[in-house]
Amino acid sequence: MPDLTIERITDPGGDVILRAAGILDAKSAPTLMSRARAVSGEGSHLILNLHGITFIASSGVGSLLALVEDFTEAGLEVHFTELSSAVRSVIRLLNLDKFLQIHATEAAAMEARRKAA
Amino acid sequence: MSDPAEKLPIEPHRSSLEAPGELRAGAMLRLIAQREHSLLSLMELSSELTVSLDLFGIADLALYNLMGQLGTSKAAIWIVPPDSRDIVLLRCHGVRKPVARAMGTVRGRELARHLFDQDEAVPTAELLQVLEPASARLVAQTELVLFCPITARENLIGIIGLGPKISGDAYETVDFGALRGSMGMLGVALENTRLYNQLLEKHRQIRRANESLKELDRLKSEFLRNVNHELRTPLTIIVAYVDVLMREEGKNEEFLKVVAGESVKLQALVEKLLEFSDLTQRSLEIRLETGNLAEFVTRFHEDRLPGVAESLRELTLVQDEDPLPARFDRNHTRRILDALVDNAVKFSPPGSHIEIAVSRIADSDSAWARIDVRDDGPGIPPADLTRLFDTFRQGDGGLTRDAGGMGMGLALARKLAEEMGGSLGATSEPARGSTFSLLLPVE
Repeated sequence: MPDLTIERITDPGGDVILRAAGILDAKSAPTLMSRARAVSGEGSHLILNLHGITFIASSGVGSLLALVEDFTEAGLEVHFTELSSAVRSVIRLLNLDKFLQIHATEAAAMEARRKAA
Repeated sequence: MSDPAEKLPIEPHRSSLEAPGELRAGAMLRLIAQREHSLLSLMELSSELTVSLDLFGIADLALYNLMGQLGTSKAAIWIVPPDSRDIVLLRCHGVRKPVARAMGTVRGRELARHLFDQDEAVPTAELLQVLEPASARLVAQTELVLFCPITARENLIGIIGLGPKISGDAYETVDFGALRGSMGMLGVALENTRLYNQLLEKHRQIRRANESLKELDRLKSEFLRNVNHELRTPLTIIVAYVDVLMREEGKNEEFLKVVAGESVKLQALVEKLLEFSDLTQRSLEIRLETGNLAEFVTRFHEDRLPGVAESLRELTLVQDEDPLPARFDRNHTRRILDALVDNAVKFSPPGSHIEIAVSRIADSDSAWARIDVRDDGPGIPPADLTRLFDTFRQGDGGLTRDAGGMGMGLALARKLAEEMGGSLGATSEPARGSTFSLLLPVE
């Protein structure tokens, strides 16, 4: 069983939802980045559900920040939803919530995307 | 060197033991949590650096770790090749790639010179005062606020640049300490990877040379067996007729014709002997077999990865279909892919990305296994593209001449592809890169 599993869903608005579960560290970050880059390659915005992340290493946090920068450079958005407690605590510690677009639910993220569009 | 924290717009960190009594418990706990995070990040990096022995993989995990450790969304890493005047961009996030690349190729050495004697991170503000104005402008455009030298065994291996913290806090003394530790580990990891890649590439070259020598030896033995037989027959005839000539009179003209004929045969044989040096042509005999092309290309990718990384190009593999049964000659296919990868390395600058992609394509009439070798180099002008596969032909641009030419390699590669019932073609977009596509029949 891989450390990180990612389920892909396309929402009715055409954005892509990736639901990540497991451990997000240096070993698994390339998998997330690869799946996310496929989304930006299609020109789609991304909603990343982190509900199932049980552990996040610094490399995992860094990969999330890199992902946002890569999407922004491509003129696309990343929205984060349903942060697990492991993710939420490190994001609070580093004050990253002012940089990341975080929503309580996928529905809220979709709504934010619809308003932005 | 003076304390870098003094030059930053923040009060240097005081350890929790020195904290004044009025520091509230919440702030104390937060400080402790931040220190714990920093320490854990450092420990994670030491273990993560064992995950990858790929130069670009190490660059990725080092940047991710530092970004997550310090809470910055901007970071870049350059490598300092031992034999080049430029420094080469490996990865960047939150920094415009053209700027980060230009800084490496145009002004990198000056930056490297200033960082060489430093044993810890240098704030950009400090660098801007000592760099030439053109270099300073480029450094400022990166929006990075710290530059860290990566050293190993007293050599500058690379440079990492970091952006401002998202929290708005400035870098503190404790961050400089953590960065020093991270750079030390990273320097050793990069140096080890470079040495490991060099070793693997030398091993690959020796293995290939050994295979070629074995093949040449086999062909030499075969050739000598044939020569032995072919020489003996005409010589026997000549000797016999000369013997008769010596004993009979009046038939000299007819016998001399025979002698002349056999002499021509001997001449042809001598010609063949002269062609002996071109034995490689005979090693092109085709041996088609059915196999999993996806697995074959995976092994090829593993085999070439260290050498390509050593040349500071990134070589990645994309497999759309595995297994992919196809009918192909392993030696032919390897030779073609070698030529295409060598070509991509030659015609793309350090820091470029080369991708091998394997897929299956089909239309109503036929199905093919397809291997693309793409690079993001300068591309090939349309006029040169049509002549690319001509024997002894190569693009006429300056870069082509600098690179030493590949005309014969590509012509031969196409010939081998056609012998297998496939094809080899190329598309290119100037300034965007080139794609060479090998099609092979699927089983």
